[in-house]
Amino acid sequence: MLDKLLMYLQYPFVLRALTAGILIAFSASLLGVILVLRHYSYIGDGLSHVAFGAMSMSYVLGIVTQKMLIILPITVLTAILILRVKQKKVQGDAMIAILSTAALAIGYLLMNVFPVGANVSSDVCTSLFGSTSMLTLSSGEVWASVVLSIVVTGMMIFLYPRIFAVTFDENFAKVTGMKTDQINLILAVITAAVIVLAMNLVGSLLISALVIFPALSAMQIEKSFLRVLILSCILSVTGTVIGLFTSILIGTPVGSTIVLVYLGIFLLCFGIGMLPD
Amino acid sequence: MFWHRHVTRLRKGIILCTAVLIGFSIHGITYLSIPKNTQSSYDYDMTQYNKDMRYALTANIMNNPGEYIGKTIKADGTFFSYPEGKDKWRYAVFISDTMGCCSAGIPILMNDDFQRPENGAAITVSGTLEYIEYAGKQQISLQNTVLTVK
Amino acid sequence: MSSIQIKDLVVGYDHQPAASVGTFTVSKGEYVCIVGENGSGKTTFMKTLLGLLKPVSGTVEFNGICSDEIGWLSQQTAVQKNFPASVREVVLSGFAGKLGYRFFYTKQEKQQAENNMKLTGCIAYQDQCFRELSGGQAQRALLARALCAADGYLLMDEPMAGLDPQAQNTFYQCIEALHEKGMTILMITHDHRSLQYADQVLSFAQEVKIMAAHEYLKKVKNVG
Repeated sequence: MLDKLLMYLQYPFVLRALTAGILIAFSASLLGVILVLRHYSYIGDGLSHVAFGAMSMSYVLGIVTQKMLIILPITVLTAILILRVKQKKVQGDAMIAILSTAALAIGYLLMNVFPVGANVSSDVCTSLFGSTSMLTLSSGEVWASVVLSIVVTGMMIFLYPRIFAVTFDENFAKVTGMKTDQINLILAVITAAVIVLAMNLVGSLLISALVIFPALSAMQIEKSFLRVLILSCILSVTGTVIGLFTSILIGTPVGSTIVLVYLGIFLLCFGIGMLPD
Repeated sequence: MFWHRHVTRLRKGIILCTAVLIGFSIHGITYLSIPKNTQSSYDYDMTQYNKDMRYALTANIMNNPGEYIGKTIKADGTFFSYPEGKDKWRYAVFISDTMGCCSAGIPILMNDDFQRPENGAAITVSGTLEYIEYAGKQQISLQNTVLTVK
Repeated sequence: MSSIQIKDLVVGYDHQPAASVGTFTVSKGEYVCIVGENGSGKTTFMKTLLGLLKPVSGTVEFNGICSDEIGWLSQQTAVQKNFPASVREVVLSGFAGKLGYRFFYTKQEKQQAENNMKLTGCIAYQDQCFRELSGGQAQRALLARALCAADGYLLMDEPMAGLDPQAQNTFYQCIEALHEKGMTILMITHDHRSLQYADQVLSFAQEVKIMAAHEYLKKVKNVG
C-alpha cells in the first residue's frame, strides 16, 4: 500500500492537490481561530453558499471564464455586511443563516430556470463537495493559493496585536484608541477572498470544516492565543495530508474524508482537554 | 501532579506525530525515486484506480495534455461515437467519477476496419497518448488503441 | 487645561432617555465617584462618555484628550470568559490603541505591562489561561490592562466587584497612588469607602447631581 501511495505522489495533479490543500488548510485555520472566537463559526458555509449563488448568477448572465469578477465582489460585500454592520435586530449567526440559505436557493433556482449547459451541473457538484475539483487543479490555481497564504500569513503576523485586541474585546480596543473599523474591514475582505478561492479548489463542505475544526480542536488544549493559532495550523495541515492520502488510497471522496479526519482530531483533542491538569 | 506530566507528554506526543507525518510526506515526495510501476506495463493503468482518481486523471489529461504526451494508459469507460460529415466517425471513451456527477472523455483513434459498438457500451481501452491535428489545433488522443467491449 | 465637558447631556439607548445628566466639567487630575442605584443609568452614562453610545441629547466634549490616553475597566463580556489567551497577552493588549503606525509592541511597553501586573497583583499567574481565572483574578488582570491603556484618564465600572476586602484595599491604594501622580479617575462604585479619596461625586438618584465629595458624605450621614 505504501508503494501505491508513493506511486500516486508522483502524479502532478496529486502534488497540486497536496500543495493547494496544505496552503488552504493553513490559511483557513488561521482565520478560523478568529472567526470562531467571534462566534462566526458558520461563516465559511454561509459565504460559500453566497459565492455559489453569485456563481450561478454569473453563469446565467453568460459570464463563465471571468466569473470571479462577479463572485468576488458579491462575496466580499456580503462578508462586510455580516462582519461589520452591527445592528441589534438580526444577530451574526441569524444573519449568516438568512443570507446563506437565500443565496443557495437563488443559485439553484437560477440554474434550473435558465438553461446553462452541462458543465454547470458539474460545477455545482464540485463547488459544494469539491472532491474532484481538488484533484483537477491547474497550476494557476495552485499559485493563487500560494499568493493567498502569503497574504494571510503576512496579515496574521503584522496585524497580530491589533487582531488580538479586536477579537478579545472590541469595545475596549475602540475606546482606547484603536481604529477597529479598519481591522474589521481587512478581516472581512480577507475572509471572503479565502473562502471564495477555497470553495473553487476544495468545495464548500471542506472550507466550512477548515474554518471550524482545527480552531476548536486547538482551543481544547492550548492556553494562549498564539499557541492556539500555531496548533490550529499544525492540526489543519496534518488532517489535510492524512485525509488526502487516505481518500486516494481507499477511494473515498477527498472532501468528506478530510472532514472526518478533522472530526477524529477534534474528539482526540477534546478528550485530552478533559484530562485534569 | 502525575496527571500533569501525563497530559504534557500526550500533547508533545501529538505534536511529534504530526511532525513525523509532515516529514514523511515531504520525504516521500522529494527523496524517494519511485521505480517504474512494475505491476503493470502501462504508465497509467486506470483499471487499478478508484473511480474518483480515474476521472481526475482523465480530466487532467484533457486539461494539461503536455504532461501526458507519450504515456501509455489503460482505462475502463463508456464508448461514445458521433459522425463527422459522410463516412467519418469520431470516437471517445468517457470516464466519470463515483457519483456520476462529472465525466470527461478522451478521443480515441481506431483503424478503418473498426466495428463500432453501441453508444454507451462499456469498454476497456489501452494505447498511447499523442497529439493529432484537429480543427487546426493540437488535440491529445489515444493512438494504437486496443479496444475490447465488455 | 484638558477636561471633559458635559453639556445638557441626556443618556439612553435607542433614543430612549435613561437619565438626564445635566452640565458639568471634569478637570484633569480629578477623582470622581459615580454612585446610585442599579439601573439608574450609571453604566449608560459611562458608555456615552466613552463614545460607545450616542447621547439622546446634549454633548460630551473631550478637550485636549485623545482616545489613546484613556483606560477603561468594564464589566466582563461573554467573549472574554471563554477566550484562550494568557493573562500577559490580555494585559499587553491594553497598548493596542497606541500602536499608531507600528506593528508590534515595544520593549518598554512590555516592561510597563509587567509593572502594571505587579501593581495589581496578577503577575503570579501571568502565563495562566484567562478563562481559568476566578472573578477576582480576572478583575486584577483587566485592571492591569486598563492601566496600560490609561495615559492620564482611567474610567472604571464597579472595579471592586468580586474582590475580597484585602484585594479591595490594595486596589484603592493603587488607584489613589495613580491619582496622586495626576491620573484623572472616574469610577462607578457601590462602595462608600471610595468616597474618602474622591474629589467629586456624581450621584444618580431621583436627579443626577454632581457635588464635592465632602458635601455628599455629609448628605449621606444625615440621611443614614
